[in-house]
Amino acid sequence: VSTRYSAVKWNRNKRVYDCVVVCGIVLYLGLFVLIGKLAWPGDSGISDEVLLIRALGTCAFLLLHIVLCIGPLARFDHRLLPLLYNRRHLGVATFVVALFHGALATGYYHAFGPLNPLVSLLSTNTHYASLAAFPFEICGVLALLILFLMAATSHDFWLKNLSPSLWKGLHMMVYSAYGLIILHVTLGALHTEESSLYVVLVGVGLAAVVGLHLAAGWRERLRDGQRLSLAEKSRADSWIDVGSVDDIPENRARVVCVRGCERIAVFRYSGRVSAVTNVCAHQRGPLGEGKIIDGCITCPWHGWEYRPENGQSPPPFHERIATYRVRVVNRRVLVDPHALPPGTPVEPALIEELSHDTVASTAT
Amino acid sequence: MTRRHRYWHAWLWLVFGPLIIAGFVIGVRARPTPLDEQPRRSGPPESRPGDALQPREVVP
Repeated sequence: VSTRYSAVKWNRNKRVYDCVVVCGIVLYLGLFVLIGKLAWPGDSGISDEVLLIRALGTCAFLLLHIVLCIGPLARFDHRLLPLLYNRRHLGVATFVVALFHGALATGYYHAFGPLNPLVSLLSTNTHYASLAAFPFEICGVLALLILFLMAATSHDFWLKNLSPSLWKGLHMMVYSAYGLIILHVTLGALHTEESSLYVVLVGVGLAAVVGLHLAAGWRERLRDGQRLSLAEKSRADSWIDVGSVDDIPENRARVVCVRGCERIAVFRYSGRVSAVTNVCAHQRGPLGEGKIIDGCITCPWHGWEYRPENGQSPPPFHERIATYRVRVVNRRVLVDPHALPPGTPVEPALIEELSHDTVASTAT
Repeated sequence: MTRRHRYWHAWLWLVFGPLIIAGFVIGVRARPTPLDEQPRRSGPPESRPGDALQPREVVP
Protein backbone atom coordinates (compact mmCIF):
# COMPACT_ATOMS: atom_id res chain seq x y z
CA VAL A 1 0.00 0.00 0.00
CA SER A 2 2.75 2.42 0.95
CA THR A 3 4.45 2.35 -2.45
CA ARG A 4 1.19 3.42 -4.10
CA TYR A 5 0.29 5.98 -1.50
CA SER A 6 0.15 9.62 -2.53
CA ALA A 7 -1.47 12.64 -0.91
CA VAL A 8 -3.74 13.24 -3.86
CA LYS A 9 -4.51 10.45 -6.27
CA TRP A 10 -4.86 11.21 -9.95
CA ASN A 11 -7.09 8.48 -11.23
CA ARG A 12 -9.19 7.77 -14.29
CA ASN A 13 -12.32 9.27 -12.72
CA LYS A 14 -10.59 12.60 -12.21
CA ARG A 15 -9.34 12.64 -15.78
CA VAL A 16 -12.86 11.93 -17.07
CA TYR A 17 -14.19 14.65 -14.74
CA ASP A 18 -11.69 17.17 -16.11
CA CYS A 19 -12.51 16.25 -19.71
CA VAL A 20 -16.22 16.74 -19.05
CA VAL A 21 -15.55 20.13 -17.43
CA VAL A 22 -13.36 21.37 -20.32
CA CYS A 23 -15.76 20.07 -22.98
CA GLY A 24 -18.71 21.61 -21.14
CA ILE A 25 -16.99 25.02 -20.99
CA VAL A 26 -16.05 24.95 -24.68
CA LEU A 27 -19.57 23.85 -25.62
CA TYR A 28 -21.14 26.62 -23.54
CA LEU A 29 -18.90 29.31 -25.05
CA GLY A 30 -19.54 28.04 -28.58
CA LEU A 31 -23.31 27.91 -28.10
CA PHE A 32 -23.38 31.36 -26.49
CA VAL A 33 -21.50 32.96 -29.38
CA LEU A 34 -23.53 31.07 -31.98
CA ILE A 35 -26.88 32.01 -30.45
CA GLY A 36 -25.67 35.59 -30.00
CA LYS A 37 -24.75 35.85 -33.67
CA LEU A 38 -28.09 34.39 -34.73
CA ALA A 39 -30.11 36.57 -32.37
CA TRP A 40 -28.37 39.83 -33.35
CA PRO A 41 -27.27 39.45 -36.98
CA GLY A 42 -25.86 42.06 -39.35
CA ASP A 43 -24.25 45.39 -38.62
CA SER A 44 -26.58 46.06 -35.70
CA GLY A 45 -25.33 42.93 -33.94
CA ILE A 46 -22.95 42.69 -31.02
CA SER A 47 -19.28 42.52 -31.93
CA ASP A 48 -17.44 39.21 -31.61
CA GLU A 49 -15.26 40.56 -28.81
CA VAL A 50 -18.19 41.73 -26.69
CA LEU A 51 -20.03 38.48 -27.33
CA LEU A 52 -17.01 36.50 -26.14
CA ILE A 53 -16.60 38.74 -23.08
CA ARG A 54 -20.21 38.07 -22.16
CA ALA A 55 -19.89 34.34 -22.86
CA LEU A 56 -16.81 34.07 -20.62
CA GLY A 57 -18.38 36.18 -17.87
CA THR A 58 -21.63 34.23 -17.75
CA CYS A 59 -19.73 30.95 -17.93
CA ALA A 60 -17.55 31.85 -14.91
CA PHE A 61 -20.64 33.08 -13.03
CA LEU A 62 -22.46 29.83 -13.74
CA LEU A 63 -19.45 27.71 -12.77
CA LEU A 64 -19.12 29.53 -9.45
CA HIS A 65 -22.77 28.79 -8.69
CA ILE A 66 -22.21 25.10 -9.45
CA VAL A 67 -19.09 25.05 -7.24
CA LEU A 68 -20.99 26.59 -4.35
CA CYS A 69 -24.07 24.39 -4.75
CA ILE A 70 -22.19 21.06 -4.94
CA GLY A 71 -21.40 21.02 -1.20
CA PRO A 72 -24.94 21.35 0.18
CA LEU A 73 -26.43 19.24 -2.63
CA ALA A 74 -24.08 16.38 -1.73
CA ARG A 75 -25.44 16.58 1.84
CA PHE A 76 -28.91 15.86 0.48
CA ASP A 77 -27.99 13.27 -2.13
CA HIS A 78 -24.88 11.17 -1.67
CA ARG A 79 -24.82 10.25 -5.34
CA LEU A 80 -23.37 13.73 -5.90
CA LEU A 81 -20.38 13.05 -3.65
CA PRO A 82 -18.01 12.34 -6.61
CA LEU A 83 -18.67 15.91 -7.76
CA LEU A 84 -17.76 17.16 -4.29
CA TYR A 85 -14.49 15.22 -4.20
CA ASN A 86 -13.31 16.85 -7.43
CA ARG A 87 -14.66 20.30 -6.68
CA ARG A 88 -11.13 21.75 -6.68
CA HIS A 89 -10.84 21.16 -10.42
CA LEU A 90 -14.07 23.01 -11.07
CA GLY A 91 -12.85 25.89 -8.91
CA VAL A 92 -9.62 26.22 -10.88
CA ALA A 93 -11.62 26.11 -14.12
CA THR A 94 -13.81 28.93 -12.78
CA PHE A 95 -10.74 31.06 -12.11
CA VAL A 96 -9.28 30.42 -15.58
CA VAL A 97 -12.54 31.36 -17.34
CA ALA A 98 -12.93 34.45 -15.14
CA LEU A 99 -9.34 35.45 -15.88
CA PHE A 100 -9.97 35.31 -19.64
CA HIS A 101 -13.15 37.36 -19.13
CA GLY A 102 -11.27 40.01 -17.15
CA ALA A 103 -8.29 40.12 -19.51
CA LEU A 104 -10.46 40.40 -22.63
CA ALA A 105 -12.74 43.05 -21.11
CA THR A 106 -9.76 45.12 -19.90
CA GLY A 107 -8.11 44.88 -23.29
CA TYR A 108 -11.28 45.75 -25.18
CA TYR A 109 -12.41 48.70 -23.06
CA HIS A 110 -9.11 50.14 -21.77
CA ALA A 111 -6.31 49.27 -24.21
CA PHE A 112 -6.91 52.03 -26.75
CA GLY A 113 -6.27 55.07 -24.60
CA PRO A 114 -3.05 56.76 -23.53
CA LEU A 115 -3.10 55.09 -20.11
CA ASN A 116 -1.92 51.62 -19.21
CA PRO A 117 -5.01 49.34 -19.43
CA LEU A 118 -4.80 48.33 -15.75
CA VAL A 119 -4.29 51.92 -14.63
CA SER A 120 -7.18 52.97 -16.81
CA LEU A 121 -9.36 50.20 -15.38
CA LEU A 122 -8.69 51.25 -11.81
CA SER A 123 -8.68 55.02 -12.23
CA THR A 124 -11.13 56.00 -14.98
CA ASN A 125 -14.34 55.70 -12.98
CA THR A 126 -14.15 57.09 -9.45
CA HIS A 127 -17.87 57.46 -8.66
CA TYR A 128 -17.66 55.37 -5.52
CA ALA A 129 -20.44 57.36 -3.86
CA SER A 130 -22.97 56.61 -6.59
CA LEU A 131 -24.70 53.24 -6.89
CA ALA A 132 -25.87 53.98 -10.42
CA ALA A 133 -22.36 54.78 -11.66
CA PHE A 134 -20.33 52.67 -9.23
CA PRO A 135 -17.08 51.29 -10.71
CA PHE A 136 -18.29 47.70 -10.70
CA GLU A 137 -15.05 46.54 -12.28
CA ILE A 138 -13.31 46.91 -8.90
CA CYS A 139 -15.56 44.20 -7.43
CA GLY A 140 -14.62 41.89 -10.29
CA VAL A 141 -10.90 42.58 -9.84
CA LEU A 142 -11.06 41.84 -6.09
CA ALA A 143 -13.04 38.64 -6.69
CA LEU A 144 -10.53 37.56 -9.33
CA LEU A 145 -7.66 38.11 -6.87
CA ILE A 146 -9.38 35.86 -4.32
CA LEU A 147 -10.04 33.20 -6.94
CA PHE A 148 -6.38 33.42 -7.96
CA LEU A 149 -5.22 32.86 -4.37
CA MET A 150 -7.50 29.84 -4.10
CA ALA A 151 -6.49 28.36 -7.45
CA ALA A 152 -2.79 28.86 -6.71
CA THR A 153 -2.98 27.21 -3.30
CA SER A 154 -5.14 24.32 -4.45
CA HIS A 155 -1.99 22.52 -5.58
CA ASP A 156 -0.79 19.54 -3.54
CA PHE A 157 2.28 21.47 -2.39
CA TRP A 158 0.13 23.98 -0.50
CA LEU A 159 -2.23 21.31 0.72
CA LYS A 160 0.70 19.62 2.42
CA ASN A 161 2.47 22.68 3.76
CA LEU A 162 -0.28 25.03 4.92
CA SER A 163 -1.88 24.23 8.25
CA PRO A 164 -5.48 22.94 8.04
CA SER A 165 -6.94 26.05 9.65
CA LEU A 166 -5.01 28.44 7.40
CA TRP A 167 -5.78 26.53 4.21
CA LYS A 168 -9.43 26.17 5.11
CA GLY A 169 -9.69 29.83 6.10
CA LEU A 170 -8.10 30.87 2.84
CA HIS A 171 -10.53 28.79 0.81
CA MET A 172 -13.51 30.04 2.79
CA MET A 173 -12.82 33.36 1.07
CA VAL A 174 -14.79 31.98 -1.87
CA TYR A 175 -17.90 33.31 -0.12
CA SER A 176 -16.44 36.83 -0.14
CA ALA A 177 -15.58 36.36 -3.80
CA TYR A 178 -19.17 35.31 -4.46
CA GLY A 179 -20.53 38.42 -2.75
CA LEU A 180 -18.18 40.63 -4.78
CA ILE A 181 -19.19 38.93 -8.02
CA ILE A 182 -22.88 39.40 -7.24
CA LEU A 183 -22.14 43.13 -6.80
CA HIS A 184 -20.02 43.13 -9.98
CA VAL A 185 -22.87 41.63 -12.01
CA THR A 186 -25.65 43.64 -10.35
CA LEU A 187 -23.94 47.03 -10.67
CA GLY A 188 -22.47 46.23 -14.08
CA ALA A 189 -24.40 43.96 -16.42
CA LEU A 190 -27.80 44.40 -14.76
CA HIS A 191 -27.46 48.19 -14.95
CA THR A 192 -26.78 48.14 -18.68
CA GLU A 193 -29.33 45.48 -19.65
CA GLU A 194 -32.92 46.71 -19.76
CA SER A 195 -34.59 43.30 -19.63
CA SER A 196 -35.75 42.10 -16.22
CA LEU A 197 -35.05 38.51 -17.24
CA TYR A 198 -31.40 38.89 -16.24
CA VAL A 199 -32.40 40.20 -12.81
CA VAL A 200 -34.63 37.17 -12.32
CA LEU A 201 -31.90 34.74 -13.42
CA VAL A 202 -29.31 36.23 -11.06
CA GLY A 203 -31.88 36.32 -8.27
CA VAL A 204 -32.73 32.65 -8.76
CA GLY A 205 -29.05 31.70 -8.67
CA LEU A 206 -28.48 33.72 -5.50
CA ALA A 207 -31.55 32.26 -3.82
CA ALA A 208 -30.39 28.75 -4.75
CA VAL A 209 -26.93 29.22 -3.25
CA VAL A 210 -28.11 30.85 -0.02
CA GLY A 211 -31.16 28.59 0.36
CA LEU A 212 -29.22 25.36 -0.19
CA HIS A 213 -26.54 26.30 2.35
CA LEU A 214 -29.11 27.23 4.97
CA ALA A 215 -31.17 24.09 4.32
CA ALA A 216 -28.10 21.86 4.48
CA GLY A 217 -27.00 23.49 7.75
CA TRP A 218 -30.45 22.99 9.25
CA ARG A 219 -30.48 19.34 8.15
CA GLU A 220 -27.09 18.69 9.78
CA ARG A 221 -28.35 20.27 12.97
CA LEU A 222 -31.43 18.03 12.99
CA ARG A 223 -29.28 15.01 12.27
CA ASP A 224 -26.97 15.76 15.19
CA GLY A 225 -30.01 16.17 17.43
CA GLN A 226 -31.46 12.79 16.45
CA ARG A 227 -28.18 10.99 16.98
CA LEU A 228 -27.79 12.71 20.31
CA SER A 229 -31.13 11.31 21.47
CA LEU A 230 -30.06 7.87 20.34
CA ALA A 231 -26.83 8.22 22.26
CA GLU A 232 -28.60 9.38 25.42
CA LYS A 233 -30.88 6.34 25.30
CA SER A 234 -27.89 4.04 25.02
CA ARG A 235 -25.93 5.70 27.79
CA ALA A 236 -26.95 3.06 30.35
CA ASP A 237 -24.84 0.35 28.84
CA SER A 238 -22.42 2.85 27.23
CA TRP A 239 -22.46 0.98 23.91
CA ILE A 240 -24.35 2.57 21.02
CA ASP A 241 -26.46 0.47 18.68
CA VAL A 242 -25.42 1.72 15.25
CA GLY A 243 -27.85 -0.56 13.40
CA SER A 244 -27.77 -3.78 11.46
CA VAL A 245 -24.50 -4.79 9.88
CA ASP A 246 -26.44 -5.45 6.67
CA ASP A 247 -27.25 -1.74 6.43
CA ILE A 248 -23.58 -0.87 5.98
CA PRO A 249 -22.42 -1.35 2.37
CA GLU A 250 -19.21 -3.29 1.82
CA ASN A 251 -16.11 -1.05 2.05
CA ARG A 252 -18.30 1.85 3.14
CA ALA A 253 -19.26 3.39 6.46
CA ARG A 254 -22.22 4.40 8.54
CA VAL A 255 -21.78 7.65 10.43
CA VAL A 256 -23.10 8.09 13.98
CA CYS A 257 -22.98 11.13 16.28
CA VAL A 258 -22.30 10.70 19.99
CA ARG A 259 -23.13 12.92 22.96
CA GLY A 260 -22.47 16.16 21.16
CA CYS A 261 -18.96 15.05 20.22
CA GLU A 262 -17.43 14.28 16.87
CA ARG A 263 -19.14 11.74 14.66
CA ILE A 264 -17.94 8.14 14.41
CA ALA A 265 -17.49 6.35 11.08
CA VAL A 266 -18.23 2.61 11.31
CA PHE A 267 -16.70 0.75 8.35
CA ARG A 268 -17.56 -2.69 7.05
CA TYR A 269 -14.93 -4.53 5.03
CA SER A 270 -13.91 -8.13 4.29
CA GLY A 271 -16.29 -9.63 6.87
CA ARG A 272 -15.16 -7.25 9.60
CA VAL A 273 -16.28 -4.00 11.21
CA SER A 274 -14.07 -1.19 12.57
CA ALA A 275 -14.86 2.26 13.91
CA VAL A 276 -12.78 5.45 13.67
CA THR A 277 -13.44 9.15 14.08
CA ASN A 278 -15.23 10.78 11.15
CA VAL A 279 -12.68 13.61 11.05
CA CYS A 280 -9.60 13.32 8.84
CA ALA A 281 -6.33 14.49 10.41
CA HIS A 282 -5.47 16.47 7.29
CA GLN A 283 -8.23 18.96 6.47
CA ARG A 284 -10.96 17.52 8.73
CA GLY A 285 -12.65 15.82 5.81
CA PRO A 286 -15.59 13.44 6.45
CA LEU A 287 -13.95 10.01 6.48
CA GLY A 288 -17.33 8.31 6.75
CA GLU A 289 -18.17 9.51 3.25
CA GLY A 290 -15.05 7.86 1.87
CA LYS A 291 -14.46 4.20 1.19
CA ILE A 292 -11.88 1.52 1.81
CA ILE A 293 -9.40 1.25 -1.04
CA ASP A 294 -6.46 -1.17 -0.92
CA GLY A 295 -7.30 -1.97 2.69
CA CYS A 296 -7.18 1.67 3.82
CA ILE A 297 -9.94 4.15 4.69
CA THR A 298 -9.52 6.85 2.03
CA CYS A 299 -10.62 10.39 2.79
CA PRO A 300 -12.96 11.65 0.07
CA TRP A 301 -11.49 15.13 0.11
CA HIS A 302 -7.78 14.65 -0.54
CA GLY A 303 -7.18 10.91 -0.51
CA TRP A 304 -5.40 10.61 2.86
CA GLU A 305 -5.42 7.00 4.05
CA TYR A 306 -5.75 5.22 7.39
CA ARG A 307 -5.83 1.58 8.34
CA PRO A 308 -9.27 0.82 9.81
CA GLU A 309 -7.95 -1.47 12.56
CA ASN A 310 -5.59 1.11 14.13
CA GLY A 311 -6.32 4.53 12.58
CA GLN A 312 -2.71 4.89 11.40
CA SER A 313 -1.57 6.02 7.97
CA PRO A 314 0.51 3.42 6.14
CA PRO A 315 4.30 3.93 6.22
CA PRO A 316 6.14 6.21 5.62
CA PHE A 317 3.37 8.52 6.86
CA HIS A 318 2.67 9.17 10.54
CA GLU A 319 -0.85 10.60 10.69
CA ARG A 320 -3.15 9.02 13.27
CA ILE A 321 -6.84 9.28 14.07
CA ALA A 322 -8.93 8.17 17.05
CA THR A 323 -10.35 4.65 17.04
CA TYR A 324 -13.32 3.11 18.87
CA ARG A 325 -14.07 -0.32 20.27
CA VAL A 326 -16.71 -2.12 18.26
CA ARG A 327 -18.55 -5.45 18.41
CA VAL A 328 -21.25 -7.27 16.46
CA VAL A 329 -24.03 -9.03 18.38
CA ASN A 330 -26.85 -10.77 16.48
CA ARG A 331 -25.79 -8.80 13.41
CA ARG A 332 -26.25 -5.54 15.30
CA VAL A 333 -23.21 -3.25 15.37
CA LEU A 334 -22.39 -1.80 18.79
CA VAL A 335 -19.82 0.94 19.34
CA ASP A 336 -18.21 2.14 22.54
CA PRO A 337 -18.60 5.95 22.26
CA HIS A 338 -15.41 6.65 24.22
CA ALA A 339 -12.68 7.58 21.77
CA LEU A 340 -9.35 5.82 22.17
CA PRO A 341 -6.11 7.76 21.69
CA PRO A 342 -5.24 8.32 18.01
CA GLY A 343 -3.56 5.30 16.47
CA THR A 344 -4.70 2.80 19.12
CA PRO A 345 -5.06 -0.68 17.57
CA VAL A 346 -8.53 -2.19 18.04
CA GLU A 347 -9.44 -5.74 17.09
CA PRO A 348 -12.09 -5.55 14.31
CA ALA A 349 -15.42 -7.20 15.06
CA LEU A 350 -16.05 -10.24 12.93
CA ILE A 351 -19.35 -10.60 11.08
CA GLU A 352 -20.77 -14.09 11.39
CA GLU A 353 -22.02 -15.35 8.03
CA LEU A 354 -25.73 -16.12 7.81
CA SER A 355 -26.71 -19.70 7.06
CA HIS A 356 -29.37 -20.35 4.39
CA ASP A 357 -31.98 -21.13 7.08
CA THR A 358 -31.27 -17.88 8.87
CA VAL A 359 -31.48 -15.91 5.65
CA ALA A 360 -34.85 -17.52 4.85
CA SER A 361 -36.25 -16.80 8.30
CA THR A 362 -34.95 -13.22 8.17
CA ALA A 363 -36.57 -12.70 4.78
CA THR A 364 -39.95 -13.89 6.02
CA MET B 1 -15.78 18.05 9.03
CA THR B 2 -15.85 18.78 12.73
CA ARG B 3 -18.99 19.59 14.68
CA ARG B 4 -17.66 23.07 15.39
CA HIS B 5 -16.95 23.70 11.73
CA ARG B 6 -20.46 22.60 10.73
CA TYR B 7 -22.08 25.02 13.17
CA TRP B 8 -19.72 27.84 12.25
CA HIS B 9 -20.55 27.28 8.58
CA ALA B 10 -24.30 27.37 9.26
CA TRP B 11 -23.98 30.62 11.24
CA LEU B 12 -21.84 32.10 8.49
CA TRP B 13 -24.62 31.60 5.94
CA LEU B 14 -27.26 32.86 8.35
CA VAL B 15 -25.40 36.19 8.48
CA PHE B 16 -23.69 36.31 5.10
CA GLY B 17 -26.65 35.13 2.99
CA PRO B 18 -29.01 37.99 3.88
CA LEU B 19 -26.13 40.46 3.44
CA ILE B 20 -25.53 39.36 -0.17
CA ILE B 21 -29.27 39.36 -0.88
CA ALA B 22 -29.54 42.87 0.57
CA GLY B 23 -26.65 44.03 -1.65
CA PHE B 24 -28.33 42.49 -4.67
CA VAL B 25 -31.70 44.11 -3.94
CA ILE B 26 -30.13 47.53 -3.34
CA GLY B 27 -28.12 47.19 -6.54
CA VAL B 28 -31.19 46.23 -8.57
CA ARG B 29 -33.22 49.13 -7.13
CA ALA B 30 -30.47 51.50 -8.24
CA ARG B 31 -30.84 50.41 -11.87
CA PRO B 32 -31.40 53.33 -14.25
CA THR B 33 -34.99 53.26 -15.50
CA PRO B 34 -35.31 52.95 -19.29
CA LEU B 35 -36.89 55.99 -20.99
CA ASP B 36 -39.90 54.07 -22.33
CA GLU B 37 -40.60 52.57 -18.91
CA GLN B 38 -40.53 55.76 -16.87
CA PRO B 39 -43.49 55.78 -14.47
CA ARG B 40 -46.31 58.22 -15.12
CA ARG B 41 -46.97 60.89 -12.57
CA SER B 42 -50.11 60.15 -10.63
CA GLY B 43 -50.58 63.74 -9.49
CA PRO B 44 -51.42 66.85 -11.49
CA PRO B 45 -49.05 68.03 -14.21
CA GLU B 46 -46.09 70.08 -13.08
CA SER B 47 -47.11 73.71 -12.60
CA ARG B 48 -45.54 76.37 -14.70
CA PRO B 49 -44.52 79.79 -13.31
CA GLY B 50 -47.54 81.51 -14.80
CA ASP B 51 -50.07 78.91 -13.70
CA ALA B 52 -50.41 80.14 -10.18
CA LEU B 53 -52.31 83.19 -11.25
CA GLN B 54 -54.76 82.81 -14.16
CA PRO B 55 -55.75 85.90 -16.09
CA ARG B 56 -59.40 85.66 -15.01
CA GLU B 57 -58.39 85.55 -11.40
CA VAL B 58 -56.28 88.62 -11.54
CA VAL B 59 -57.70 91.23 -9.29
CA PRO B 60 -57.25 94.66 -10.73
